[in-house]
Amino acid sequence: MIGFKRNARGRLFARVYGAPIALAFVGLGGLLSALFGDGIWDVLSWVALTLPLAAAAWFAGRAP
Amino acid sequence: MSSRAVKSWYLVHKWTSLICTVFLLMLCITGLPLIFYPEIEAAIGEAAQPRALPPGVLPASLDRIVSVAEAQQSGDVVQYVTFDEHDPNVVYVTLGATAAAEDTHYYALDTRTAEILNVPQFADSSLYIFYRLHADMFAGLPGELFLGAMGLLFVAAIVSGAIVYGPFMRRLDFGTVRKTKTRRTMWFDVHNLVGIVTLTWALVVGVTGVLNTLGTPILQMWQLGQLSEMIAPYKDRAPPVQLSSLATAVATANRAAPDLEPSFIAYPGTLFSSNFHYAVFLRGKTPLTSRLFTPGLIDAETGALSAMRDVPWYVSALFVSRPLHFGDYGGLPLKILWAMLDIVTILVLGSGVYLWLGRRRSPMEARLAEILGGGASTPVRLEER
Repeated sequence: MIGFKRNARGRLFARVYGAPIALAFVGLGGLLSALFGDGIWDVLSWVALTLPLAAAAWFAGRAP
Repeated sequence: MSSRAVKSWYLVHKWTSLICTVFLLMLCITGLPLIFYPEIEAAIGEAAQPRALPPGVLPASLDRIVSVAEAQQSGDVVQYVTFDEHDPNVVYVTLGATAAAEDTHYYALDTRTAEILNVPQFADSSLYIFYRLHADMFAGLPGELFLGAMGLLFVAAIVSGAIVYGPFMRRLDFGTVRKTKTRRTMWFDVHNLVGIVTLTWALVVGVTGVLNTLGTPILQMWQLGQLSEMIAPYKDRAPPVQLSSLATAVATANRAAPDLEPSFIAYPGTLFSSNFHYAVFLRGKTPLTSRLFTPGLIDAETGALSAMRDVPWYVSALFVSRPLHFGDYGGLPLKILWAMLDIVTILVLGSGVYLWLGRRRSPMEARLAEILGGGASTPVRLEER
């Protein structure tokens, strides 16, 4: 971005994309874990895939 | 990112989304009941319901099961024998006028008693219309490939959407939904928030959906490649006059791969076998390996094992892409999550159309200013920052 120093740019990227990237990894872990086994692996995937939905619901639902 | 780059990505997002949205909405809606296919089938009485018998009843011989099914349609030949994925007491026998006939009829049988169980043919089942709309819009292979192209556009829309998310969000905290401004602003924020948090799921289901639309060409590639290599030594032999025992063939194949279990058997002359072999398709027992098949070719005259090989990687990729598209590999809770993510994707698609409709008449510059301004209502020029 014009006018930004490299570290400031890195900070901006982390601020904007930090949470989405973290949620993306959680979601990917959830999608894969149930493939590898049953039982605890299924539970892990349920929790991991609930997180993005819960995050969206919480942010969309909170008071303005 | 330069403002020119943002503009390009915005245009990519807009056009890829616009072209695929109608089809994606149809796919999301028809896909919803398909997630719960076996549950719905059982609830409306269309699933095979074997009798309750005391545990420990020995299974009937496969040969007897097949002869019971054959007797229903004398003159026709068996094409496939398929074990039910969910119910070990149910097996399906598919018959046709010839081994390669496309017009087929199947019977469900109890594996313990060899009784015929009452199930509708696929085309008469209640979810058939949803399945066909979802898979090929009743248009066969061209329909499948068309939906695959729509899936590719959907993937491009997701990627470009994630890229324009950056400049749009640079002045807003993650998860901001501005409810006090205009309704449009609120939907813009909802579109961004829900779109970005469901990104992984939508990408995975999109990409695996595209792979599934390539199922027919992928399997043809395998038949022309590895399968024809495996049956090459038998090329000039006449088809068997009298078929050897199927039960023995399955047992022989299973002995060669004791960690696997039989999934289905293709009879000689069908698409999935040679003219002289039973192709016994075995699968593993974990959620992942149960989706991967290993074919064993059994000489249908002598009953001896001719060849057994793992399928090539591209066929494995197709098989593994199926659970990741269907969401049927982690129990009912996973299916419910799949349905919720599907509904949320409908919300992203719908809000996208709403945003486009609302801004259609305003100039391109105003729309870009909205993104480049980091979500502020007054345009901010990049150079000032």
